[in-house]
Amino acid sequence: CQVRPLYATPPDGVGAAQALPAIAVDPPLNRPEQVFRNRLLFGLRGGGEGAANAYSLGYRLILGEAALGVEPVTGTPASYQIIGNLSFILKDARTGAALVQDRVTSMASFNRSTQDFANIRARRDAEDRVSETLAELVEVRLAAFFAER
Amino acid sequence: QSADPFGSIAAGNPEAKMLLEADQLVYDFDSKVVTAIGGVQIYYNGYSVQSARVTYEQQSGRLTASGGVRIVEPDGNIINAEFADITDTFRDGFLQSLNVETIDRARFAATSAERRNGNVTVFREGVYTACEPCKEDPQRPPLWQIKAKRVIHDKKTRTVYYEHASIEFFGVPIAYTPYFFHPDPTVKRKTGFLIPRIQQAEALGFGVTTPFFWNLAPNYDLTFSPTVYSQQGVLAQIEWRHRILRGSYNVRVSGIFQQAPDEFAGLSGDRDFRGSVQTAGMFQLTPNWKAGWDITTTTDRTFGRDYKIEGATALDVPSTIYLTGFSERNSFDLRGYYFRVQREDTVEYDSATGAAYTHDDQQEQAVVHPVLDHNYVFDRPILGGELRLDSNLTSLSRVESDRRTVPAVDYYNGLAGTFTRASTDASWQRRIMGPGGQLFTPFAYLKTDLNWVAADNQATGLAENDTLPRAMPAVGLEYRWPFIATSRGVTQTFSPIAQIIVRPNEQHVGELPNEDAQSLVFDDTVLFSWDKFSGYDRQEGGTRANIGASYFAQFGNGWSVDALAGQSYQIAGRNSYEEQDPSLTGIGSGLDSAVSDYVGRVTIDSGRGVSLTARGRFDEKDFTLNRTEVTSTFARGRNSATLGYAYLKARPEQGIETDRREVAATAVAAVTKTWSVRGGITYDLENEGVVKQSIGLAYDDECFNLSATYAETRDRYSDIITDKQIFVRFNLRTIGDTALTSNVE
Amino acid sequence: QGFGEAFTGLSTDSDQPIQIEADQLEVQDAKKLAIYRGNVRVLQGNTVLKTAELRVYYTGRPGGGAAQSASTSTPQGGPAGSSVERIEAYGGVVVQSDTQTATGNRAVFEMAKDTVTLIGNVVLTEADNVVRGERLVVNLKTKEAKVEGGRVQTILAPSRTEGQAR
Repeated sequence: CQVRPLYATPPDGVGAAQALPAIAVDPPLNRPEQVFRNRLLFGLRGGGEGAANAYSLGYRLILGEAALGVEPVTGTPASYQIIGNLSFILKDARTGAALVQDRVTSMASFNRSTQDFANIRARRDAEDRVSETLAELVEVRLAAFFAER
Repeated sequence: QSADPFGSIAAGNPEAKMLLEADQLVYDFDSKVVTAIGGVQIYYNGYSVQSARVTYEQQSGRLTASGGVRIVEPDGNIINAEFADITDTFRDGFLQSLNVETIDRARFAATSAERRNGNVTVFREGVYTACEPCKEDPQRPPLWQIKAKRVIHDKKTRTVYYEHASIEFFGVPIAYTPYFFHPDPTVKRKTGFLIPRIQQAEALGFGVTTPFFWNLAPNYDLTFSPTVYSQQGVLAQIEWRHRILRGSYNVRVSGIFQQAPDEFAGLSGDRDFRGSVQTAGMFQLTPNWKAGWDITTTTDRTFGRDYKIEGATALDVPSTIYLTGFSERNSFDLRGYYFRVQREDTVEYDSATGAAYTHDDQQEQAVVHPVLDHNYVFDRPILGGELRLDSNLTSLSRVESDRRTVPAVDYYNGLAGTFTRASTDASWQRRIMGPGGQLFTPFAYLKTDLNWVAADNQATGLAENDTLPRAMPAVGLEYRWPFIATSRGVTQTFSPIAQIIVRPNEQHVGELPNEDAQSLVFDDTVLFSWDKFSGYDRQEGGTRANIGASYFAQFGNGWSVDALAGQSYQIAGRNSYEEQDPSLTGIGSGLDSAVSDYVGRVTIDSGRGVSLTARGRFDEKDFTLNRTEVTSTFARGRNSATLGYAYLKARPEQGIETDRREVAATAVAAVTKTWSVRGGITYDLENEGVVKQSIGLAYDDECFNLSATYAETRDRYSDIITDKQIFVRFNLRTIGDTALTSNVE
Repeated sequence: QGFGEAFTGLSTDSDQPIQIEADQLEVQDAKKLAIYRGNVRVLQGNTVLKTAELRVYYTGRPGGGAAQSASTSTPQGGPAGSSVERIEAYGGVVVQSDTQTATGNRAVFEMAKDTVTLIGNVVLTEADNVVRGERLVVNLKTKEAKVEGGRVQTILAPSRTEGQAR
């Protein structure tokens, strides 16, 4: 099988490094989607300018929560798990044809404190971590798609 | 859409003409009667009539159709009748042996129907159901139907009245009522009784709720929901909802004079009057800005959980007032918090003396005035990279310290006093494509904050009344070299990842409270974070390296594998995770040694509904498991199931003396096209006992749904005694459901 | 009034005289036939029938010669002193009375059966009402008009009695 760097520029000049900055990412609906989008935009453009939009990326992020390790007597869980499910679709901006369609999941947990405010801040941090991890998973899949083409 | 056989009065344009088409037309000059014979079609003002034979007296305007007539109304109702004698403007008339199919697939049938002055339609021997006739045997009685001597549909009041009605299930009459009415389905908000709810709970007894919805106006209404409990008497609930131009708000008051308070002997529920007041509102100030509140107060600790008050069943119910701004890349959130504790006070036994120490959980919760988050990303690249500014202001106060005793040392999850911190975190990063597709990401950040500490009592090491500034400058580099291998339909990518961050040591550890960074779970999602603390109160210091690798494989048949693993090293300076802050955050996290535990994650996904994710933290010395969470999900069609396993090793330094091992499973199985069973169970492997379980049965078809659920949390795992509940809900479509779910929006 | 009035006008037993005008009249007495040609107009009371060619079949004594002047005025439309059996109108027929018009490709009047038949995309309009069909048969004795053949369509204006009464 053929092994080569994911971001190396192929002979015809259009590889992942060239295609990724030309992806326009849809606007977010809520804060976790904004964290996902900001992190993905850095992954696709490396902090630089985006290229002319040749592709568009639509996505929807759904967060769930589960309690883990319920303590006897008090009945309070020792820890919570934030579960992120993100489905995304990459389209050719000109033809609208769907190029990549997939679903990725990520999980992050936080320990429960007896202080409610600490739990709220820990949940927010776990949501950010899940959203940013999902962005990395999507970036790898997009890069692999363009590297293969 | 309306269930009225004659539809809305022919409000169409009064000048409308009537088109009549037939095989043959006979016109009688003398009597001025037109008779159309053979395939007669009439179109008028949105109505269409098909019949074998129609006679039309133009003088009197009477239209009689015989030999079978089919009328389709402007809003889509279809009427089939043997004989029809109606006015040519379709406003009034008489129909013989008819059945009506309404636009929302409900069905009227009757021996005859008469419409007077364009409004009231009277059906004799009427039958109403929303169920489809059974395909194989249409004569078989539907699942439910309402039979009545007379069914009257009044268009003005949009109500369907039944006289001498009986409700039949599978053709068997189960209830008779001389008089019964319900809003016709065109009505989304109609004053009237909603479908009753039945529940049963320990200490409360058997309860029936009969909600009454009073539609005062299109944008505000009142709902009275009295529940009669066999043991505790009447729980009264009133909810006011009001929608105005920019948003909406509601107020809900609940209260009960308990008949048997001693059922709650020794618990905070042991009192006569118990109640709660809840209010919530949200207003869209501009397309990007909104403000609102969600506030709950209760008379005693467990009222919300005991009586399952909607929105107040959580262990601790947060009340908040907020102003939120949101644009494509930036967000702003200014918010206050008050926490209503709904748990009995926890008792702790002093590690040294063994004396019992009762917490006042309510006073130990902070009141946050306010917490402000502002996250801003510069849209234009700065020096070719991304510049971000994340700021936070947190100001809170607490009446009593949340002191936890642990064998080795006391620690505080919260300190009495008032604490304020203002922080900004400016960070810059840029990814540079090196030769051969290597990725170099230099980055730098500067965290600065100012802390005002006003502690009520002197806790060991804590600054008493002070203003302490902190700063944490950092520079770092992340290196990745991702490779891709493709062969026979399998695509694999692999990348080594290395990160080095150079910083001074963290300042004032132990002198400042830790309110927003208490949780630290070292796992794959935090391995490559520049600062592994979860909040602004702690700043990771010293020079640290994070090493790992990521792997992803996509197989032709849809399966995919995704993995990440690595380790973290404190190279120079003080390891922030070994230092003790008042809540012992870093201790036992796996980062509290120069060489951290190993962390890893692997996700296997079939691409067709089956997926498994396992995450773990392994001791760096002997690779023993310190923490693991395994979650698997299965989904196909209407069947789905989840199975989870969690192992959390004891962390004595943080007050958790025993390991925690737990299995949790949930499943929804579609038994038949209409019946489905759902269940869930959580089992504590460490103490070999069921923590909580629930089993439910649901029936759904096009006209009826029923759900019965039994949920129980075992006493050992619950501090309240009302944690065994049975809920029964049922809906007759078009009769029950719209009223129940109608809402203000 | 209904849209039957247009035809009563042409009833043979009405007492009003029938006047026929045409560019040219040809009488073929042997065949007991009179042919009016060229924008033929048949007038009776306030009803007018216009057609391109009108053939009148009659019985009884021969009347004037060929190419008689087109305008004759006889009670039954046939030559003086004869009784008309049948009238046929060809080349498009328009029948108009004050409020109604009926058109068709051709028309046949059968005096014995007292019927008038209009054949070929018949259109009958009367104030707001319109009827369209292949054939229109009007029985002047029973005062009944029948439209049939293929699909007959009519547009009626519902009575306003109901509407105004509200």
